[in-house]
Formats: sequence, C-alpha cells, structure tokens
Amino acid sequence: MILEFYLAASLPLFFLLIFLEGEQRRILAFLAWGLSAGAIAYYINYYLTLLYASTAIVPEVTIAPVVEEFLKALPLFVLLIVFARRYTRELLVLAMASGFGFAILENYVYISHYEIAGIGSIVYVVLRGITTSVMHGCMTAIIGYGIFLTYGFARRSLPAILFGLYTVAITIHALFNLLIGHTGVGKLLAINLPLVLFAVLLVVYNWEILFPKPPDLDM
Amino acid sequence: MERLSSPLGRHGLLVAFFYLLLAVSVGLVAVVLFLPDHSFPGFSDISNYTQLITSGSMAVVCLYAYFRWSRDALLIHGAFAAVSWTLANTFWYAYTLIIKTNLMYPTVAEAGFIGVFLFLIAGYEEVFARNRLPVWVTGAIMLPPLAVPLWLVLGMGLNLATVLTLLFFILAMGLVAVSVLYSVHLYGVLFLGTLAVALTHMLYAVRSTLPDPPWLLGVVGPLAAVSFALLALGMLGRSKEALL
Repeated sequence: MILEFYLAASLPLFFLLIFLEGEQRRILAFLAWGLSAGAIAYYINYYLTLLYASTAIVPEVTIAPVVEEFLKALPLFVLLIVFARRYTRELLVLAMASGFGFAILENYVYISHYEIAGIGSIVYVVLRGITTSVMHGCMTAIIGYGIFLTYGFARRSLPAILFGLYTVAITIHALFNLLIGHTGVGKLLAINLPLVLFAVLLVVYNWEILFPKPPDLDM
Repeated sequence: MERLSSPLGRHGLLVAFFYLLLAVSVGLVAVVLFLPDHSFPGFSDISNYTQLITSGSMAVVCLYAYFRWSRDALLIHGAFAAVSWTLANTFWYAYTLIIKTNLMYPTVAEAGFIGVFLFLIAGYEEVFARNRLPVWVTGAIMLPPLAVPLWLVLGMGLNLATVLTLLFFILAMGLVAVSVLYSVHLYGVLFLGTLAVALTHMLYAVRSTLPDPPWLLGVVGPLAAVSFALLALGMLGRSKEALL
C-alpha cells in the first residue's frame, strides 16, 4: 500500500507544480521530493534490515538515519554540486519542505502498520506530528541552513562541508530514534528535541530581524 | 564591570573560561597517567561532562563570535565541528546510559566524529593560504602512523572495525597534513588543538578495535576535552584580531 499512497499523495502535487512559479514551485517540488524519498527509503530500509537481521545492528538507530537523511537532502546536494546557484536562507525552508514531505509518507506507513483505532489513533498522530514529523523537517533544514551559511566558501571545501552536515543530521536523527524508543527522561528528551530544534531554527532564520546590526554612524 | 560589557571584555572572559576547562582536562589526563589506579571514583562522569561541556561551549562560542564579532569562516567550520562531535558523544553516552550496554564499534556516532575532521579540513583550506611546501610532504606525514591500523588489519582481519580505524587514521593524518600545507602552525594554539584532536581519535579508534585495550588508552576522553579547549582558544585568538 506504500506505493499506492505515495502515488495518490504526490500525483496531484505534480499537477499543481505546473501552475506554480518561483519560490512556491520550489517549495512544493521539495515537498513532493520528500514524499518520493519516503517511499524509496521505506524499501531500502526494509531490504537492509533483512540483510542485517542476523547481526547486532539496531536498524532504527543505525540504518534508518543514514538512508533517510541522505535521501531527504539529496536535492540540496544535487542543486549545489550541479548548479552551484546562489540561494538565500530560503534553502532552509526548501530543505524543511523535503523533510516534512518525507514525514507525511512515514506517518502513513506507521499508522497503516499499527492500525490503531479511536481516540488512540488521534493522540498517536498528534504526537508523531509534533515529534517525528518536526524532527524530519528540522534534520534536513539543518543541512539546508548549514549550506546557506557556508555559501561563498571555496568550491573544493564543499564536499567536506556537505558530508559534515550530513553526519550532523544522521547523529541527531539516531539520537532521537534511540531516545524515543525508551521510557522516562530519555523519551521526554526525545519529544522535546525536535521542538527545541525547531525553535532554534526559527530564531536563526529570523536572526537579522531579531538582532539587527546597529547602524553605522560613521560618514 | 564596564570592561566586561565591551566585546574585548567578553572575549577575555571566554578565553579565561576555556583556559579553566583546559586546566581541568589536563588534570584528568594527569590522573590517567600518574595515579596508581589511573582513575578515582566518579572519574568517568567528571571526564564525560568535561568533554561535553568543552565541545558544546566551543560550538556556542564559535557561533556567537561568528555572528557578533568576526565573519571568520573558520569560526563557522569550528562550530559545525564541535556540534558534530558533541552530538556524536551525546549519542554514545545516551546509548551507554539508556540501553546500558557497551556500544558496538562502529556505530552512527562514528559519523559525527568523522564530521569533525571534514569540517576542520574544509575550514583550514578555506581560511589559510596554501604554502609552497610540496605535496609529497603529506605522504611523509601520513604514512608512518598508518602502520598502526594496517597492523590491526593484519592481526584481526579485514572487518568493519579495522576498516573504520584505518579511515580514522587517514582522516586524522589528512587533517595534520592539511594544517601543515596551509600553515596552521603559525597559530600555535590552534595547531596544538589540531594535533590533539587527531591523536585523540586515532587512540579512540585503536581502543575501540582492541578486545582488551591497555590502561593508557583511558586517556582518550580527557584528551578529547583538551583538544576542544585548545581549538576553541585558537579560534578565539583569531577572532580577537577583528576586535582590535
């Protein structure tokens, strides 16, 4: 059913893309990519989990973050390496759109697997909406904002920076997956982690509005 | 009080803070090297917190200095490196404390440790000018230490752990080589921090690979804190130039 849901959710978006222009089109394109990344990641994770089933590897901590963060951020890497276009802080929003698109599909996967009914399903979906979904958006947004911050740096250092940002996203994702699977303080931290990250990203996105530079009085 | 409200005053305060962390870290290294038991009750916790506080503080201070004092690209690379390491280390402790088992080597945490080298290499290449030293010098720097991971591969076979240890050595020596080719040694404290971070991760990789590591490798944790304190001091030293 994953492929069917992916097609049902993404096909209308592709039609909408035709009518949109500029920033709106880019944001929707990244959201649609996120959905695609979710579908691809589902199959890759599934096969890798089977492959490493006999080992001590914990898939949700070791395999999923590596696969998912790579797929979500892929258009950012391609944009930079192939086109090397200058982007503004909009890159953070584009990256976040990809992450949220991914989360939409992943939420569907979990909801359809667990088949929770009644009020429990609403609580579950809301909890996922403010934790895992925000986490996916923020992880990719970190890569996007990191790229924006380092724009203008030497092209030769770009691969190292991109891989470095990718490792940051993987590590936070793995930490989140590790903590969310446990009870007590760990789970509480995991629930708060995406919201704290979201608040931090909101502040850095609006940094120049929140902390304007004092006017230069020298004539 | 007035002096502390000025950028130079705040800069001085931050430098003093990192010197304090450096002193604590060096003290912890001395504990491993000179105490008969190489430890004391609570040593592990103090060492862990010192590492996290040092690397976390470096990340915050580098970002603060970048946005408020100087648009030195090295600060942003340094911040990313420190964030990457802090997260990886947090993951390591979270795993050990929550699941209460020793983390299998290698894990996702290794990605964060590797990130440190990538950010620092990119930062040095970005900020410093390439000197006229021939590239083959890097070979002379990199090859001798590589004997250690190759010896591990020969003894323990080719597996994920030994291959990752080899990668750690290549990245660590690569960082040292880049810092030599880009004259990072002109900034003494920064260069010392670079050497320390390279040594720390090489020792860490060996400790994680060996089934029964020697007591001397217990120095890895405190040495990591020393590395980040030195790196932070080196980067703060550069940002001071913008304030003068």
